[in-house]
Amino acid sequence: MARYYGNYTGDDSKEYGRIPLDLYRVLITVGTRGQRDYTSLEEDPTLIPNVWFEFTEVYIPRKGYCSLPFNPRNALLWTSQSSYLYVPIPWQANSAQFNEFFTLLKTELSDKYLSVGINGEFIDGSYLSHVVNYG
Amino acid sequence: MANSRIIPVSKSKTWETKTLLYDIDLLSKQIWVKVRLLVKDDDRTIRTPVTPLYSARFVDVDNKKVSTRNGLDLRSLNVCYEQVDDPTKETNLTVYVPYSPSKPQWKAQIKETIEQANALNVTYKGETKAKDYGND
Repeated sequence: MARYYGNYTGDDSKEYGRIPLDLYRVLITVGTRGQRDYTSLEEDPTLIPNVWFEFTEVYIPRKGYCSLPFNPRNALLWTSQSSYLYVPIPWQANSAQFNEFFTLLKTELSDKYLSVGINGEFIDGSYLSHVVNYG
Repeated sequence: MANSRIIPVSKSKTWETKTLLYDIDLLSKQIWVKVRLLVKDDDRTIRTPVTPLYSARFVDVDNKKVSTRNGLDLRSLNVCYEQVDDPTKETNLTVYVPYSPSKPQWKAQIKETIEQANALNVTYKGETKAKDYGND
């Protein structure tokens, strides 16, 4: 089971440290929310651009981790009409790594994926107030 | 034959379309997008509360020249507003955030939206596109 962690930069430009960043496949036809299937350490570097691995480290079980107060932005790499690879994106939009990741996906890995989607962060009312007043 | 318009009995909302200059997340591009503002039926005054940083990005471009969004959900705030003319009612409206998160106006626009007198609750959703991201 391959899981990772790293620093996540929010849309609020704050850096959240030591956040679990899991890569997994989802088959949407199974179950109400799809079946989650973790990928393997050996396979992962073939699936997404290397820049992602330069920013993350392999998860160590039972080590302390922090959680994000909101849902992270993530990319959905569709391998078929009913399955995708979920990839959390720890860099803010317009950063060099963000641009490199999506550009490389298109130029070097386009034969692996039918399509790429992105989900933005979802920040609810109370935390959003905190972000703009104190962040 | 007289060209008479049939007004439906139930009240429907009236909108005005504006063109917004919007920062795309990927590769620092800027694009024009069409956005709708709620207007009053009778005199067409704008009812969607527009804050200064939001209107600063409205451009005077005929919105017929602006292409469709092609599935791109813009960076936006969902704001639950207390209705000014009837404080017992609320309206959920979408206010777009045209500034990239790396710019200081991103935080400033969200702050001025939250601080509006009749904004009850605000949530944020970053730029989202289900498929074909980066193909615009």
